[in-house]
Amino acid sequence: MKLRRLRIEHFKRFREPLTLEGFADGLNLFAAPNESGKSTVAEAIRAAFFERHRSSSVEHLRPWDEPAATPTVEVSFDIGGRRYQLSKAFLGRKRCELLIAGQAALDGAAAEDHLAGLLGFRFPGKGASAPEHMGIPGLLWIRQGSAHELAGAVAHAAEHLRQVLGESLGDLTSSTGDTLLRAVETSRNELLTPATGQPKGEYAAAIQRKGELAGQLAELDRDIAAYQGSVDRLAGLRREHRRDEQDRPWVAVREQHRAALARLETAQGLESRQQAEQAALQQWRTQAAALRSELEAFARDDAAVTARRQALAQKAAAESAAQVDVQSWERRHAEAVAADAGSRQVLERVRAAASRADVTRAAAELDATLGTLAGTVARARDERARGARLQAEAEALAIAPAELKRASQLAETLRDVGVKLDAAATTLEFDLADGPVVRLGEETLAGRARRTVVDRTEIHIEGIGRIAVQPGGADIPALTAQRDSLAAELTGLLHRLRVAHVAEAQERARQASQRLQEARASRTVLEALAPAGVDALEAELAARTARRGELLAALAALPPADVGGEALPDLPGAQAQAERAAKALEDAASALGQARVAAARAQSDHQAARQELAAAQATADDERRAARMAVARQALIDAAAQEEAARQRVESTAAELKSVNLGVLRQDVERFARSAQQLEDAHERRRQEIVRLEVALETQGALGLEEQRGERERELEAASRRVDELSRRAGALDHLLALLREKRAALARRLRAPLQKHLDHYLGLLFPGAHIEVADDLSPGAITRDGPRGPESGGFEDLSVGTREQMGIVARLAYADLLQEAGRPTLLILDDALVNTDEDRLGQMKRVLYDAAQRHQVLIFTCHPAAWRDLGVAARAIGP
Amino acid sequence: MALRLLHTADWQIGRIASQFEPDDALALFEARFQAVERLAVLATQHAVDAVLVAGDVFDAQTVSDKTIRRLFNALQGYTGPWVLLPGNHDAALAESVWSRAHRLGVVPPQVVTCLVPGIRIVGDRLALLPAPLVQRHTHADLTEWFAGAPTPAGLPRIGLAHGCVQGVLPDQVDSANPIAAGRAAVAGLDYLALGDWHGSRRIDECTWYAGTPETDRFRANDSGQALLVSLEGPGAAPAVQPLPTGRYRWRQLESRLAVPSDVDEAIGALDEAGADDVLQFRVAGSCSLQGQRRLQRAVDEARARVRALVHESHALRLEPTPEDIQALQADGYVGEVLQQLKAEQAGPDGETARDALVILARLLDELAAPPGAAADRAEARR
Repeated sequence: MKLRRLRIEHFKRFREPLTLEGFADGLNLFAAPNESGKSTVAEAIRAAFFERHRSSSVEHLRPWDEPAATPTVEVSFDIGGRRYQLSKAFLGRKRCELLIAGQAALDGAAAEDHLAGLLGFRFPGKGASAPEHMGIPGLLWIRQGSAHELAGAVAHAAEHLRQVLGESLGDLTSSTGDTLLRAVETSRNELLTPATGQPKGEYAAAIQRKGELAGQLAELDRDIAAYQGSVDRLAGLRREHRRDEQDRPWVAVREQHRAALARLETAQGLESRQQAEQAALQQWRTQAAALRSELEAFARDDAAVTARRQALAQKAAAESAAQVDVQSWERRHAEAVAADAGSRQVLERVRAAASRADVTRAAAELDATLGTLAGTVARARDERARGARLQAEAEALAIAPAELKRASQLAETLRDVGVKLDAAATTLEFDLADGPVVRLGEETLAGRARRTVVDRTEIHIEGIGRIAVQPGGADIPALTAQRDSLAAELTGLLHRLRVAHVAEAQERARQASQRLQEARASRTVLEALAPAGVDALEAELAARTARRGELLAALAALPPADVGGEALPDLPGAQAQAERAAKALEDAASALGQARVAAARAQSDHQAARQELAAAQATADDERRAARMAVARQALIDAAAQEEAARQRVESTAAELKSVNLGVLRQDVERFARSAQQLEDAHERRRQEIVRLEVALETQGALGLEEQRGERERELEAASRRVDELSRRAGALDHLLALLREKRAALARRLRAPLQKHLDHYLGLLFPGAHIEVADDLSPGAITRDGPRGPESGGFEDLSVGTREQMGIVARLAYADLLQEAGRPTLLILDDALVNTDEDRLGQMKRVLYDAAQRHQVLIFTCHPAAWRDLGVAARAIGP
Repeated sequence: MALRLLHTADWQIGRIASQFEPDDALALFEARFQAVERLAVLATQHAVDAVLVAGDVFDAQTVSDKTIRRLFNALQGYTGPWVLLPGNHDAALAESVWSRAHRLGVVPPQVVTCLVPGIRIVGDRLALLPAPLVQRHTHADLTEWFAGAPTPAGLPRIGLAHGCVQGVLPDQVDSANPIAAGRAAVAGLDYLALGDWHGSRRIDECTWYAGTPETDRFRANDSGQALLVSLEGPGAAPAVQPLPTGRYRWRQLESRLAVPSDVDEAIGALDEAGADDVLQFRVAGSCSLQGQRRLQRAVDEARARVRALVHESHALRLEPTPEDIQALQADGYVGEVLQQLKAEQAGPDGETARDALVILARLLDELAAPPGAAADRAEARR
């Protein structure tokens, strides 16, 4: 596609029409400063093709100050040698017209659609055109600053690219391939899940059915086996039953039971016999024993008489001995009485002497104390009187200390006041010559004198006159008053105290206190003498005196002193002796008592023994006794013989019994009874079991199990066949699909080869030896190039913006080459592309572009004309 | 006194052939009753003195009640004595199909069920010595007692047994139900009627297997017959004449394909098969896609025509010819797929490759044909 002429009017900044002509077949370089409208030119071209003339979303194409304008674009271009002329007017007077050389003109939507099909893009349903609609031109007409964004543009153009590629390589593709592939895929996915290849749909159902049938078959087999088992069991039971019907084993066992029972009874008879014999034996034993004891009794009677006689003798001897004993004790008792009396007398005497001595001593002591006490009493009286006297004097002299103090104070204060007054007073010093009589107040003065006056005083000078002295000083009257009062008070006080002056009062006070002190001392002495008081002391004296009197009286009452020459023991000795004697007397008395009691008892015993002997003899002399004894003797012999016989019988029975094991016999009976019962029960049970089994089998037989099983088996085989069939089909479809996909992918790779080739060609110009992979969606994939450390590969997005810019243009050139080989129109527009590219790379890109321009028309818009100086084509300006 | 007997065995009433579709299996199940009815007709036609059935009357003990009733109904066509012997499939156990039949009360008076070994006088015309099987597993010769069993003079001694004659029949090393060879002679039998072997077979002059009256397996073995036995008098050798009774022919057809004409041959053989054929068709070797298509078509047609058809073709390889490929219009990568599948048939997953090839060919056919026809064909192939 080659652009020939372009005219823009009322289009954005171009209010006046702009016409561009004279486009070269290859490179066209437009240099214009910013804001000169070079992008607007590119935009006009885009709008002319991409926007429907009827579109209402193209307001932005109007010049901003012409709200009613009709943006118009006219484009003349050649495709495949044919001239096309497109005129499009928007918004105001909408118009679209396409003139095609050698063909009928098209207008309106028809013209637009024709262009869309021709160039490989489409229109939006409504609204402005967006990149996804722009198809191949969207890829080749690079907008400002979007050279490095390749993936999106390729994606939007992919469908068109693929169509193009597919058409151009017709004989390598399969005409029905994709339809077939879809058909196979559909069929396969009917039987297998798309993702995991698991059975689904009919296939899965068939597998399930097969499983179910297998289960049912297994169940039927189990039931049949059970049925057969039951049949076999029935046969067995019937056999056993018949046998038992014939043999009747329980009959024999019942016989055995009866025999055992008989044996048991016999044995039991033996047992009772033994018991009877035991009893008889016991009886005879008892009888013999009784007889024996009777005979013994007789013997005992005889023995008793002898014993009694002996006893009598003993008792007599005992009695006499007891009598002797009594006599001896009586004698001793009398002796003890005498001793006791004697010792008591001695004791009396000793006691009397002792008491006399005591009293005498007590009286003497009392005398002594009495004397002392009288002296003390007298002294105490004296002291008391003295004390009283001192106290009275003290009181008489006493002056109340308060008054004394007051008097002192007054005297002192008076003195002070006097001094003050003196000080304040007017001092008059006289040194008088003889002459007139001078009188100070009432006083007549002569010679030298010194006087103080405190109040108005007149000095009379005889014959001369009078001098009144009024002392100044404010205090003087006060002081004078004070002095007067004080003096008055003092005087009164002294008068009251009956003293002439204070010193006297003080002296009196001192004397008073002295007296007091002495009184106190006297009191102290008194207390020492008579702590309880003098009266108490006197009372005690009186008491003691009375006591003395008593003692003397007592002494007089005592018996006279012992004049006996015997040496008397002392009191303790006498007492001890008396006690001993008393004790001895007590012992003797009690012993005597006891001896008497014993004697009495012995006597009674003797009496009793005599009586007993008499009784025993009486019994022994009974005549019937002998006869009885003889009888008893005979009976004993008989009884002993019977006993022996009975014992022998018992022994023999026991021996017999031992040979017969009663316990075992009992067990036998039980065992046989039980066995017979069990046999009969088992037989009956078996009969019932047989009936039960027959009924069960009848029911089960009617189910027709084996026939069912045959049918189920047939169904299972059919289901298995179906599963196999579907499995084979699924496997085959899966394999077929895989193969188809594989081959197709290989083919697609081969198809991409041309694109690969073109990309590598351009890449080689930029990065020698580099290689790029073309992805499935025909966009550039990983790039491998020689780095400083050997070949390195990375994704497109990993490159720098500058490199991506270059790569973006390079890729687009490759697509353009491919499209051209397919006979499609290719026009390249680079609007300020390569802005991030450095000088070095730019040089390489120029090489690339120059090369590409051999095959395509390329419009380059730039604001850096200097950078493109060496492109090989002169820059043109835009605009008027 | 001439004695005429109809000797048959192995009716296997109630058997269900498991390898067939339901309707085919049903027809074959029915056929067995029909065979019995035909026997009744034959018996009446030839005015035999008795019909001897040497075992395996029923295929199992627990056939349904309906089956039991139907069997005894089928005997109505002949009013003379039917002698039924329990075989190994229908042994006279404590509870068996026989006790069930008697309980149901469906056994007509002319039917003699030999449930215990013991001489029976049948219709005053013959002395029968039956050796019924009374256990689930028998390993002893049940005909041993024949020799020591006297029968009334003047009556032919006819033995009836079910088992395997020792030393005569193949592949029976430790056989169940053994029968000594020469039993007839040892026991002084005029005729020994045997069952268990499903084909008619002569053992010796007086000893025959009747075979099943309706064929029931693919192995060719002279089945589908009953034996008409004529005894002129005691001591005379019996005259035995096979009578056809079977309805369906069970046939095995094996084809090995190598050249195109082999396909024609196989198709021809298929076309010949008729409504009374039960066919097993095995095909191996290799053929072109075209050939496979033709063959499949013939098989489908035959399947609809014959009584039942079992088709096995997993040993068949497909070798698409250039013409095949041309016809398929398999170009581009589809053509490559075709070639690869063709090659894979020789490998380990050859069957899968072959199946895939068949599917591919069919799909290409459909895509090449106009849409209407393709839909029809798709329907037909389903």
